[in-house]
Amino acid sequence: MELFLDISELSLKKHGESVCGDQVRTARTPDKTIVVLSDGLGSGVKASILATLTTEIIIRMLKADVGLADVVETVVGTLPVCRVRKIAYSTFVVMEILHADHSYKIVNFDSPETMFFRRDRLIRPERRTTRIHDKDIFVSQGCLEQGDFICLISDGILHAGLGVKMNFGWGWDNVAEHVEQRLTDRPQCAWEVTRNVLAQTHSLYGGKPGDDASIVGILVRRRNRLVIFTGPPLERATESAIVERFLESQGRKVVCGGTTGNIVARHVGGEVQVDMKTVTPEVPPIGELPRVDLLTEGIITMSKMLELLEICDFNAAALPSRRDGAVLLAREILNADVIHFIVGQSINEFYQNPDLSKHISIRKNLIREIVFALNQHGKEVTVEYC
Amino acid sequence: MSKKVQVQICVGTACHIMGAADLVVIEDLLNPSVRQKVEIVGVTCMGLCKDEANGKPPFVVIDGETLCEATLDKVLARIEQRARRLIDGGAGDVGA
Repeated sequence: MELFLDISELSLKKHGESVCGDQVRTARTPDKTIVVLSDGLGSGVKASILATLTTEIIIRMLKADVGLADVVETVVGTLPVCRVRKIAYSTFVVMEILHADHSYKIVNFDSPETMFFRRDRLIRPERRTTRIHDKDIFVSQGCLEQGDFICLISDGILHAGLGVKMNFGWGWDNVAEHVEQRLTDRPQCAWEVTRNVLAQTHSLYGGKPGDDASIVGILVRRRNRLVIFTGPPLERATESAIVERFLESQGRKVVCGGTTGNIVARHVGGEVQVDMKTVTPEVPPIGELPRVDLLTEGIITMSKMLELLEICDFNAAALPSRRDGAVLLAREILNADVIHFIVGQSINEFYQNPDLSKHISIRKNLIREIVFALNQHGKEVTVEYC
Repeated sequence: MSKKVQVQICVGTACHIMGAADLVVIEDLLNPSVRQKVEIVGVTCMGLCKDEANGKPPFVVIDGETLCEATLDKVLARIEQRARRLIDGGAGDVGA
């Protein structure tokens, strides 16, 4: 089973501060995924610097394949200690997941216990205690399964509402119960849960957080694949094989381009049915075709889609509700983890006509821009030209 | 089934940029008596823009006849003319 780690991290900064004193870093290497959440003592710039140092050191060492135990020993041994309170200037929790067998290890130094949900129920994996430099470090390990949800949180979430709406703050048990309830709604992505928890935190603080508050949600789910076929191939003779491969590929299938749609239609023995209800002044209408999940026009729709992704900051929930080609294409892309582009390089000469008000001649450049943006946002993207 | 005037609006990239999006309201602008005699569909790029001899986009094909640089007025007039012929029973010269 091909599992995917859908990771969402969100933070609130303490009211009145310019930066958040919690820091989150995630890193994916071919072998493992690492998530680090660090909470700097106090708040503001000093806390932020300490937490940043902590997360950066941990991430860099783990990426360099230094063992987790050695990393923790180094960091705990070198973290400065507050002279007044005799506690470390930053706390942290690290989760390391190996891709080969989905085994995980969570190492916790003075941070709230990580919440682990399996089949929508809170479970509490056994935690070992080890002492490193006279400090208790909690370690838990196991294997991830599809549907697992893991929550790394900073104490700012637990303290939400303290003295405002609740005597003792929101509290670990109540937060866990809240997350559990959200999971019964079958969230499509981790962001749906983290956004909800952070919104609740903000509300419990009465809109003025008394502490930095962070949450990292990790949803273990099936990898969503998407294949996008855009542009007619250079060689007509290769069309048939390319279309066949496109239709046989795993995951959802999208065609961007009317002529490309016509090529696919010829091979499936159908005809493109255009849905004129979806046309807008900016985006041409979509079409329907057997065996294809979405068919849109090419260049204009893809340009508009990229614009939309940037406006909504790559969050599907922030996309407009209207049903046009660009919105639907953006939704397909945001729901996918692995995206493969099949880009035909045949050029319609008219696209270079000076009468056209927009620059639409170079499909390749647009694809490059899209791929760059998607890579920046954690999508695994591959491109083949034909 | 009674015969209708077949109208195909090209919704390809070039046609869209050159004004095809403005043509989608055509159905609403037709005289009600004419509207029931007309079938309007959108079609993906017909490749007409690739040949200069066809003129410039946007293209609309009415019963097989290609209109280039199609505007609302131009298309409406042509549809009404064709539909009237159908209604008046002179359908002999209508068709692709």
